[in-house]
Amino acid sequence: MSAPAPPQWTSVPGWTRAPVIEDVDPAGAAHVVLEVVAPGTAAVVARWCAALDERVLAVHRAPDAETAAGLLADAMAATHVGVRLLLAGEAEACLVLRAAALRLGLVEEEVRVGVVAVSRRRVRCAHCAATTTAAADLDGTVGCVGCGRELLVYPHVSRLQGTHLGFQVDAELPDGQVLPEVAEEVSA
Amino acid sequence: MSARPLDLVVAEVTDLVPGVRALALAAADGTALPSYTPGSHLVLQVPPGAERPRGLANAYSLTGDNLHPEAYRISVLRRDPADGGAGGSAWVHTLAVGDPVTSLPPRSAFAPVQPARRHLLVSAGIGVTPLLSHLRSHARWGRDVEVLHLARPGRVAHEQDLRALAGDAVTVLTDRAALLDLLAARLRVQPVGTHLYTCGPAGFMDAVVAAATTAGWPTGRVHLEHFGLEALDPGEPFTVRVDGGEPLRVPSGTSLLEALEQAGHTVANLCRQGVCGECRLSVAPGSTGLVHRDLFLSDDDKVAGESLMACVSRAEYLEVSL
Repeated sequence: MSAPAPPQWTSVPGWTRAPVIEDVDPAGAAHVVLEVVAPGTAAVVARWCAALDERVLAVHRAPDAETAAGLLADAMAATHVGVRLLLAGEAEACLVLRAAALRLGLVEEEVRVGVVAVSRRRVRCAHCAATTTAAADLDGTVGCVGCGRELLVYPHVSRLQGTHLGFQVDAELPDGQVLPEVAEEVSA
Repeated sequence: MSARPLDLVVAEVTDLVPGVRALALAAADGTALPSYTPGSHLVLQVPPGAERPRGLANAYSLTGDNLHPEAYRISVLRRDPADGGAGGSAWVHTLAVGDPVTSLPPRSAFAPVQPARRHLLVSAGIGVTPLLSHLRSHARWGRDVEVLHLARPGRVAHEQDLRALAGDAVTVLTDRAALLDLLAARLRVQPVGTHLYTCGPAGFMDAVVAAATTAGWPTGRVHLEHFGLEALDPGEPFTVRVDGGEPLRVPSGTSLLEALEQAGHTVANLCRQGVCGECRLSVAPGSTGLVHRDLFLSDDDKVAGESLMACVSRAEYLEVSL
């Protein structure tokens, strides 16, 4: 996991490969903290709030990314340019919330993350459009909850959806053939 | 790399306010002109003349509608050579209907951000020009805008256009301090997703950027259109070697680009004022004391020191490859 990312993984943030707690942006006029509760997130939020003191506009806590996205939309509608967004949670929740923030008009410079775990990923199926959330590695496979296909977790993340692209791992093999066993490639 | 020039002809000449003349340039052969991105500019080829020993390439923002333009419209503030102008705008002011003009096709370096929720346009003087084409596009698509414009009393070029396009969303002030006070207040109440665009003299834009930074705006939300660099100091003399050849002296007051041209080298160039990026040269290791004075390279590029703009930048010792 700590190996450098291949250069073509341009859309995959480093903080989805290993946990990273980013520092607050001192240039922000106000800060909104959004915590999707997971082991370790409370400490991250405490660290940010200590660094920011009274410049924290609000701290919102949510059990999941979908609830948090609703809180995010309300919080952004109630504030102005100059605000910074701090996202604490697992990488999969941070990706989804970063996407929601970008759709609301934030720019990447305005979003910082505190990622406490990276094992789970959201994979959007190119065949049936269902999104599967599961423990999965990049370039690994996951079973689609929508159509049951075995999906390759392609190292591409949609900025505006926060999901990985997944497609049938053996889509190009003729019917009946199975994928040959390949020796695990050692990443550089 | 360079686009083919367009043969244009002056179709209209209108004096807007003292010192500012608007021109409409149509295709010389009467054909349709290409559409352009709002915020684009033309680079007019100014021929050599009485007070211009060499030709100039002057950039002028397009002020008209960007889709299917029947003519390219520019508004030019006259800066006389006696006041430090290079002579390009004075030449534009001599043009009459029917005169031929050669120009590069529209180039865009100041486009509106498509996903922006709102557009805050802040201009001073003739800096209103690139924002006019922004505003025409925003009016067409019904986008949310606010305009703050600073101009001299009685010399507010395009005021009627601003009001027609954006109505109550336009504030025109003639006092710089008052405008900056208003800007500081307005920067703190813009909805999330607003982008800021500014054009005007360098000192004005510096003040706008400083106000935005103070209000917590990140650089990705602040978009600048430079006129070009204002008077640069002549710089210290230095030595340059081209592709490992003989050392060449660049005197104080002579640009690297001029020195290379005088020595017979061909260097692609366009604006000759640090804006366009055409004359970017690769810097070889061993070069020392690079002084980047352009507006083209990013801060990271400047720190990396692997290239420089020959028209404005200097060094203590320089090795370049052409």
